[in-house]
Amino acid sequence: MLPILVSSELAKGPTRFLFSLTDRANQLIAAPNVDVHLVFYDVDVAPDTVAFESDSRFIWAVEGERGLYVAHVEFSSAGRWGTRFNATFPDGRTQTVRADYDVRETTSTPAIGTTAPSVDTPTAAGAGDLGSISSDPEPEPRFYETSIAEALAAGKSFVVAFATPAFCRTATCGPTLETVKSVAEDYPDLTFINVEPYVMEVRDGSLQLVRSADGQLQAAPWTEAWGLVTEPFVAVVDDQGTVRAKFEGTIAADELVEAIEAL
Amino acid sequence: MKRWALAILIVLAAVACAPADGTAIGIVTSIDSAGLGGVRGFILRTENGETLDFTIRGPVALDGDAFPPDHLREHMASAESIAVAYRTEGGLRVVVRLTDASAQDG
Repeated sequence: MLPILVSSELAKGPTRFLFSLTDRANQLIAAPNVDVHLVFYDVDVAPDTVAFESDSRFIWAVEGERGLYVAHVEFSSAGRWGTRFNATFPDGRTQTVRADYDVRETTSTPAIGTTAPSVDTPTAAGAGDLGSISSDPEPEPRFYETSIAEALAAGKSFVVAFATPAFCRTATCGPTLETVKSVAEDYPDLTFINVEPYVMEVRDGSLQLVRSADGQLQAAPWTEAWGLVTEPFVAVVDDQGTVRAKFEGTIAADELVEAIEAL
Repeated sequence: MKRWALAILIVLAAVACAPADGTAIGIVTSIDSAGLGGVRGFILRTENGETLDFTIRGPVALDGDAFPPDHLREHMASAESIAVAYRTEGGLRVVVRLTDASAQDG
């Protein structure tokens, strides 16, 4: 059994710890009926002494097909940490594996409890045509009515999804924006915002990526303002402009609902 | 021929269209990134357990079903196999094109 640490930013403080498990032939072990208990070690302090333990929960990356695990933990310090992954299979068998990794002092994205960066993001009012600001083939108009700066200035709670469906040509990509859209249906009075994380422009009648001189993709100004190192990224911000929850990568609908209900 | 074997052949044929010295299929286990648009490399674990380092240097093809390096983490999250076409420069495996391996199996 081998662990895959999916979180791009493991940092001191409250952390959403995303991971997966495979066997040595790359076959996915992560499944809803495989329970995984986590044991954490502060390697810099005492490499083999348990610092804390946590259960994890399975979430679908692609509903009914593939998923991974999430645990909400809190690292007491930056430095070298280790985790022992204890998996229990439906037949009662157990397997265990340990991985060590680095935990940073801070994250580049806004920490939970800090003020959300105010930044202008594209809206339908400014663009006119949703196709010029969203690569979603079925854009939800409500997601493009308010910019991040406008929501903060108005004292509105909001959910922002930095997500591009442009690259999700198959069902194997995590349908993050679809998850957010489905949750939004139950919160008609809450502000939802979707922004494309990359610099894009309309060419040949469709929204396309703008590459830099060396051919790389470019983070949009609002993406840089929020310090994203990966996408998709979803944040929940309260009416005081404080980041209350943030989710990197795959998100389960009930995770988002829980964060919204806590506003 | 089994379906998965046919799928792998299709993927290898697809990535072979890019000017590459080799191809590899596996799952992403680690990503080195300086930020969006700034993926510098990643580690791929192949089905036979081999661990391969890849470097991003210059443009990566985005034609057809290819996806950008920034999208690697989604595939890493679901432990979904990817196919990497690469060229060799100074002993480094430099990525030419990235595609979703298992998505071809449909």
